[in-house]
Amino acid sequence: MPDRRPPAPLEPVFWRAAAWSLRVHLAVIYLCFGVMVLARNNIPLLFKSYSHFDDLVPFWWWGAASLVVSVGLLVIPTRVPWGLLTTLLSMTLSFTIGATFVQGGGLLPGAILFFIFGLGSGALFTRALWMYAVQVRWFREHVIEKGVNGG
Amino acid sequence: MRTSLLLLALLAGATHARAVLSSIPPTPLACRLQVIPDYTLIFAYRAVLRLSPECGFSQTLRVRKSSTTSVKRNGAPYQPIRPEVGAWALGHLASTVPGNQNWTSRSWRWEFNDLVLTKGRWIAGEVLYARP
Repeated sequence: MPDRRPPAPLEPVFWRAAAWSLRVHLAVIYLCFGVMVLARNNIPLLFKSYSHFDDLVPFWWWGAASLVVSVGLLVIPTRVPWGLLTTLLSMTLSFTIGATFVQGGGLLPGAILFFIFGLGSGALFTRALWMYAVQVRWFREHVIEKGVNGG
Repeated sequence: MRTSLLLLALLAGATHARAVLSSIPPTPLACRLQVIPDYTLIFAYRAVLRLSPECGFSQTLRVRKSSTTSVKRNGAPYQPIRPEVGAWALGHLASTVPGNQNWTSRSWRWEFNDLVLTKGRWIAGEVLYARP
């Protein structure tokens, strides 16, 4: 007779570890991108898919912004409010880089990758926002207990 | 009356001709060497050498790397190329520049030379940067 009980819900520590892992992955990705941009800061002249990056700002600005966001993700604690700020910055940078890839050379693997990173940053942002919201008494009383329609 | 009308027409024609002539863009720039620094490190970079878009398909330029600081005893700048070679040839499709010679110190520059275009003089290549 197989066990038909529903699986036990994952513990909060699992989701904390998952969020931390995603955050470190994003930081390492930004670090690699930033170092690549700063070491080869004339790539837009050499490769078509990067050609739109230097139409807006000098290309090394993208590397500097990536390094700033990477350090922010690694160093600044994930708690409210700075956790919200760093993940919002990360989401903005990822979506901007993805959109610039699209404008430069059509829909490329680079664009898809950076849109995925942006979605990951968005998930972290939503999680940080939720963890702040459940601490607010008004939110607990009016949203969680009464439901979305106000009970 | 007729004379003044003729003079007026001539004046208008001359003004129009001047406007038309001045609106013609200057002659396109001659074929030249373009240098794109890649792998920009602190003291050196890896130069990507190109001919400018104005160059013909089969055009080749003679290129060399030349020091901007060190000079030989007679005042000529120092070049790393072997004397029997003199300079390397660069075309749209082929180049005789050895790959490891593309690494360029910050105190050196790339020059090009063509008997027709530059009348045999060595002229510094145009350095391009990814800027708006």
